[in-house]
Amino acid sequence: MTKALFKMQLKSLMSSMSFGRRHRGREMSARSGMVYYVVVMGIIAAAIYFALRQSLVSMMAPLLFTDYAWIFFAMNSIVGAVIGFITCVFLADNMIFRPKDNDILLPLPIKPSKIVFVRMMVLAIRVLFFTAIGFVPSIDVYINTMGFDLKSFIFQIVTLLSITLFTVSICLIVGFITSKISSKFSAGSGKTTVTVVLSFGLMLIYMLLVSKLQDLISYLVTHGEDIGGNIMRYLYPFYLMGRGCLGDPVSLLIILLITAAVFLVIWFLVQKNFISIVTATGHAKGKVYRGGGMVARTAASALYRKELKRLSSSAVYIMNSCMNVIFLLIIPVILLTRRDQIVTAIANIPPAFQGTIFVIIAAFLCFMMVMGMMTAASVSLEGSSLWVIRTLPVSSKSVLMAKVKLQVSIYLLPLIFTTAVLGFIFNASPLNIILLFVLVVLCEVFTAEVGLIENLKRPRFDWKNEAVVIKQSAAVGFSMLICGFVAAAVFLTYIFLLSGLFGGAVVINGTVYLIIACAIYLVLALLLYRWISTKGAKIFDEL
Amino acid sequence: MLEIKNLTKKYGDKVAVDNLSLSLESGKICAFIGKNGAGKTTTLKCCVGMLSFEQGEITIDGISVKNDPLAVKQNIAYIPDNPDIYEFMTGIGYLNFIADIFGLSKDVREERIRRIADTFDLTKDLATNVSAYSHGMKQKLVIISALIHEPKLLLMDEPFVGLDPTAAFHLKEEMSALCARGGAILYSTHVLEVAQKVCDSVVIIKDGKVVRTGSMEEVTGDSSLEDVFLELDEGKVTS
Repeated sequence: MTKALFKMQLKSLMSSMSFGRRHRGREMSARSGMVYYVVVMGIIAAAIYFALRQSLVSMMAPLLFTDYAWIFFAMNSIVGAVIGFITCVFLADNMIFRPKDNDILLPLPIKPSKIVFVRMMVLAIRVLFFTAIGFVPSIDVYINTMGFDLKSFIFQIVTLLSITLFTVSICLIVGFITSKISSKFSAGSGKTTVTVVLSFGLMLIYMLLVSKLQDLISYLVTHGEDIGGNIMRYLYPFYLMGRGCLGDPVSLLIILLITAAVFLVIWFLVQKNFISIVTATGHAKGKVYRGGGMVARTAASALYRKELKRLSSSAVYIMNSCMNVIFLLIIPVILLTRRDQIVTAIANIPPAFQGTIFVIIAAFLCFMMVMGMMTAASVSLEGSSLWVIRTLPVSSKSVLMAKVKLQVSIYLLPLIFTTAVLGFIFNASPLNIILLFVLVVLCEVFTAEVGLIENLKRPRFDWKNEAVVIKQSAAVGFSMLICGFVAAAVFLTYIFLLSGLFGGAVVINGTVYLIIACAIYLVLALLLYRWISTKGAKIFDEL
Repeated sequence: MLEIKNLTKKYGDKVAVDNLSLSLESGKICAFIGKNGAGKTTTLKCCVGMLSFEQGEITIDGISVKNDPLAVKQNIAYIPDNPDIYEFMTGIGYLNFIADIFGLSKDVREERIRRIADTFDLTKDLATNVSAYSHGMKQKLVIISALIHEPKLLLMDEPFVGLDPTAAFHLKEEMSALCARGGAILYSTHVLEVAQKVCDSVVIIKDGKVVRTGSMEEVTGDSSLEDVFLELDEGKVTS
């Protein structure tokens, strides 16, 4: 039974990675689609891997020749755990408690503990992948620096598994707490708000703790004489991980037992509360409709509001598609507190490069826009209710553009704030501020259109868990890759080749390049708009 | 009202609907009967513009589904066999959304929603999220949403599934009222007793082809619709 359940869950995991029904007008097998997806995701993972590896070689490899070599692995255990946590924390609640197949599995003679265990193991596979991206570079650097040693290698792999168990446990604690609390609320935006606030809150607390740990480690590195006592007091689990990676069997055994025990305790708690959480209906049952409250709107407005309602009803959709809005708001405020330093630094920059600063800021904001891929899941999220929109007298183009409009509009107000504050901090001319705003908005339009097109080409309507299509579908991965590549091509070409920042003469003034970049994004956005209006609408008609 | 001429729809190599023709006049209810996989739902989906088709022509109130699908959709409503609707909306939110799409004024929608929701005893639940609805409540909501713009043609796929006896009775009343206003209904079902009672005509299909069509009296004669269907399907006559 457990094996069958596990197989089914894995199949669902694999199908989320494969293509949807259509690819360039023809059917594409799930297997080849998955291979394609894995290759692309592999490229992204490899980029992160090699960036981490490079920084390890230059910054931390010397530690391996000291008595504190364990710090090398302890630090990377933290990096692995953080990457695993950030990428999977919002999945835990959805994967364990909210899959659509609850209604099918619960009436079957399967113990809830088995359902929970299998789902936890599938979550662990995902976490393992992301944790490995953060941790495996340390193994690589260790082997290259110290030579290959089979015993250490095996110990390092086992440590990776224990980091994964640890990270899964933390993700589950967050998921469990949010589910437990949000189950007290009725379905709808109230529940979503609670889940979003709790998830962000718990994530911030975790990140704060992690940042403190890193500060502590930095302190320990610079105050080597106190190191022994401080490790035992503050960082014992990481000390054990570090020692374990270096071949100490006792340390490895202890950390493995601790993480396994924590994992099992959490599994016990989750499975005990599983039924009560998944069957909770909330407290708003008594809400009675008393008439009124109706406002007649245009069809376009109704479609937009429908998309907005879809977004606001799903915590996982909000957290994965709009997290960059929070950064858009926070970063300018942080920079504002350091305005004096920034103004002083800018004063030292030659006037010829003043405009270039804004190209760099624009590049930063555009890369940030790429992180929010709302439209890339929006078609798949129609799911089994796709028939509703397909039978209504609205054109497919209107339906699709409502999705683009929502994504762009979500960013408009934050972007006005962000560009205005950044303009103030960097003493920018009104022209530069306006250009920056227009450019980022055009980039956002382009991003939204790319996401939509990718989802039209690779829709999935057979999902059991919306988190899968929101977070890990091929459409989302491809969209981010394409938009990131375009942003890199548009901005890095200028910064490295035309700005004169890295030698050579200034080929194009920064302000002029902002206008050129606006034109590039405008043309791209118009081309994609045309594609969506014609081919895209036709594809949607045939879904 | 509805004219299907030589409709053929294939899924890959499989022919789901094979050269099917039928016609439905205003004021009539037509039973659309066939075994599972006979092509009923595919035909209905072609009529509402959800599926494209290789051959044939479908016109509704004189407008071609292929040439002007939006104009056709303005005059029709579809009730699917499974009421999968937007679970992220409240019942009233969903009805408002449908009313917005059909351009109903505030007063008109208020009056119609109140009247039909009262009929199906769903008014008090309209403030609740659809995700908290039972299957029957979702089915009622789909029915209300199908009726609020007073369609000329109603295409129904097993609409009685999940409805309580009172709601089923009221649905039959609404069907009659729609026909009395000059509308028409194509009604796909496996419940042959109900079909025989409420329908004026019948189309029986097998493997995508029409095997018997005519008024209910012509098709059934002295037998029941069930007998005729079984005879056609299995070549077996029941007493």
